[in-house]
Amino acid sequence: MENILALLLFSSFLGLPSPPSDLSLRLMPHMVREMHVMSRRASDLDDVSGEVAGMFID
Amino acid sequence: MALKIVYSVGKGGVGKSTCAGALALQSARRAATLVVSLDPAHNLGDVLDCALSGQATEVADNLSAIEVDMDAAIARYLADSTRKLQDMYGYLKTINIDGYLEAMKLSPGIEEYATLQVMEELISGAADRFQVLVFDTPPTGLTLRVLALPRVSLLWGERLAGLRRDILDRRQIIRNIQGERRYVIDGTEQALACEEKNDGVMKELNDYISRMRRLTQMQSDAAISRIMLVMNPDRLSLYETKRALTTLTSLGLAIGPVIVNKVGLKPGDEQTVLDIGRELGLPIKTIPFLPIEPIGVAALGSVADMMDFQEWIPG
Repeated sequence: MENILALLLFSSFLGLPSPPSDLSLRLMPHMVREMHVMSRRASDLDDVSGEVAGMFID
Repeated sequence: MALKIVYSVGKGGVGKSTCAGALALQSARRAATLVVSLDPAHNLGDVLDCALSGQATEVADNLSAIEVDMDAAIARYLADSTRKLQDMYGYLKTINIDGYLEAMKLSPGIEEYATLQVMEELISGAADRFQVLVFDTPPTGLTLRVLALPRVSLLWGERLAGLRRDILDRRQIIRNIQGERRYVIDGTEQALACEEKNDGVMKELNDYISRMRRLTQMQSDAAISRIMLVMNPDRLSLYETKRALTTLTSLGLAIGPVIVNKVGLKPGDEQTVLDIGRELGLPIKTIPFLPIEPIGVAALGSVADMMDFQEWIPG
C-alpha cells in the first residue's frame, strides 16, 4: 500500500506526468476501447490500485 | 491587412483597462479595432462608461468592445468538451462518466484552457472585421499560464503523437501476421485502427498540434502580437512586472515599452521610474497621475493623446 501511495503521489518523478486536461478530454472519445480494457483490468486487479482506478468505475 | 493583437498585462489595479481602452481608442483612429476584457472582474465597461456584453458593442467610431463572461465561457468549454464523451461513453455501464466529468470541472488547468479557447475564438472571429484586437487580460498569474499553454500543449501533443505512431506501427506488424484485428464493446464490433488515416486518436492529435503550433507562431511573431506591460511606480508592481517579463521573454513574446501609470502621486516617483527603467532594461513611458479619473471615451481619448500608443501596435 505504501508503494501505491508513493506511486500516486510521485509518479511524475518516475516519468509518468499527466498531460494537459484539455488534451485528455479531446482524446478520450477516441479511446473507448482502451478505457474499456483499462476499466476491466482495474476491476479484475482486486487490490488497492484497482480500488483507486475504481474511483471512476461503478 | 493581417490582424494585430495587443495584450494589456499587469498587476490588478495598475490601470490595465484604462491603458487598453486608451490604446484601442487611438488605434481606432486609423484602423477598425476591437477591445476585449477577459478579466473575470471586468472594468473595461466602467472605463469606457458603456454597458458591455459578450457581443461586440460599438463604443466609438471604428471601435467595438466586449466583456467576456468567463464563468459562462468555462461552462461552455466544459459542455463542448464533454458532449462527445457523453455520446461515446454514456452507454458504457462499466464507466461512471458523470463522476469523471465532475472531477474534470475542478481539475487544474481547465480555467486556463477555457480562456485560451475564448481568445482563439475571438481572434478567429475578429480577423474578418477588425485590424487590431486589444485584450484587457485577467490578473498576471492566469494570463501568463494561458499564454504559456500553446507551447506546453504543443510539446505534449508532439510527444504523444510519436508514441501513438509507434503503437500504430506495432499494430500493423501484428495485422500483417495475424490479419485484421476486431474488438467488441457492448455488442458493437469494430476494426482496430492500424494506420494514421483511420485512427481517431491520431487525427485528434494532429488537429491539436496544428492548432497549438498556429497559436505559438502567432504569439511569437512580433508583426502580429505584442505585450503592453502596465505598472505603477512602486516596488510591488516592479517585482510582479519583473517576474512577468521573465516568463513572457521565455515564451518569445514581443514586449513593447513598459507603461508606468499614475506617476507623480507620491514624492520621488520620477526617481522610481528611472530605477524601474534601469532594472527592467526596457524603454519606459509614463502616464501622470490624473486628479480626475479618465472615465468615458472623451477622457480616455485625452490619455491616448498624451502618448503614442501606436508604439504598442505590432508590425
